[in-house]
Amino acid sequence: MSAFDTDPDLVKNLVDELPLLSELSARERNILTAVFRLRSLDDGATLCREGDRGASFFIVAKGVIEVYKELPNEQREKLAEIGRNNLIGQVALIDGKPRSATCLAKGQSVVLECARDDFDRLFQAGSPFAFKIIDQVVIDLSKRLREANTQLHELYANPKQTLLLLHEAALNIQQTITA
Amino acid sequence: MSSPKVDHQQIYRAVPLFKSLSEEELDAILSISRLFRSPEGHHLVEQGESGKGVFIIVNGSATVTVVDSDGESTILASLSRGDAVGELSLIDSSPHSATVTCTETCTVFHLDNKAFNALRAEHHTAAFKVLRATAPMICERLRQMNDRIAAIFANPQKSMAEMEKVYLRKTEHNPFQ
Repeated sequence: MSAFDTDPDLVKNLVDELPLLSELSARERNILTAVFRLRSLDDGATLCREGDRGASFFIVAKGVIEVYKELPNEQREKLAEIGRNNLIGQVALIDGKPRSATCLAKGQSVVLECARDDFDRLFQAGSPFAFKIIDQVVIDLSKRLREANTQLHELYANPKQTLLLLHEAALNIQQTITA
Repeated sequence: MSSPKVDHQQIYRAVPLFKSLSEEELDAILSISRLFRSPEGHHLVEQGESGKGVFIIVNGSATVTVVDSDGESTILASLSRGDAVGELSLIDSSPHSATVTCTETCTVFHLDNKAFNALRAEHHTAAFKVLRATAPMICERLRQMNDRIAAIFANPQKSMAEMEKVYLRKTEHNPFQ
């Protein structure tokens, strides 16, 4: 199960201990303590589902969050594991579009949730935290765009290799249909 | 008569990258930018060269081309008034992935990435507002790229036919490959 906890001391401790936030001033960390919502997740609990409206992002404070792509036939493909001190769902800050993946806790985990509206207010107020997050988000996005560019480019640059991948994809589709 | 500064402000207000900037913030960006005239045929940036920052076409037109390992060149896009290239080089200073060539005499706005990064290092709000404004564009391009890749694998039979054509064209070009 997943629970919200508003115990300020607990949030304060997590904020003070996270390396991502350690460079910030004590005053800034106090502001964040008031802004963040703490979510405790049991093993296997859902943090967010693909397709959900994304009105917040998360910082993993304890444990590990697994990221899955939903497939047809109720199947899931694991895309990544996100550990402590890392961000999840931050693209929602930018485009407010639905979540692109489902996130589940692996073991007992804790995340700090920051609502998009609160983030926007922090950003407008010139918050060093908000600047740092935006910096990370754009660096991450530009890296992903470059990787996607390279991937598409290579599909056309090595048609022989791509044909093999396509044969494989065709077989997989056939198996799904006959299954 | 309006001062040149006001004219500039009007031009840059229309650019999505600068839309959210206050007057002071826009001034900070303009103070590290330059406006120049670029002749037809001039390359604003060249594929593979280290990142120079963002270029915005104020007047005129340009093309974006890439050359692949076989030396085959493809036009990716045509640029006209208000279009920008090189946003990614503001973020991570990585090399330009395509060549941008003026197809007529252009007036071009250039925001240099080194000067921009100095502003970013000072934690100037203007730098972070510009960075934030790049994000939706990158998101959109990322979505388009991912959709194109997904579309290739969603219909393997159709894509196989296309890839066979690509393969034939490549081997024709260089039969010893």
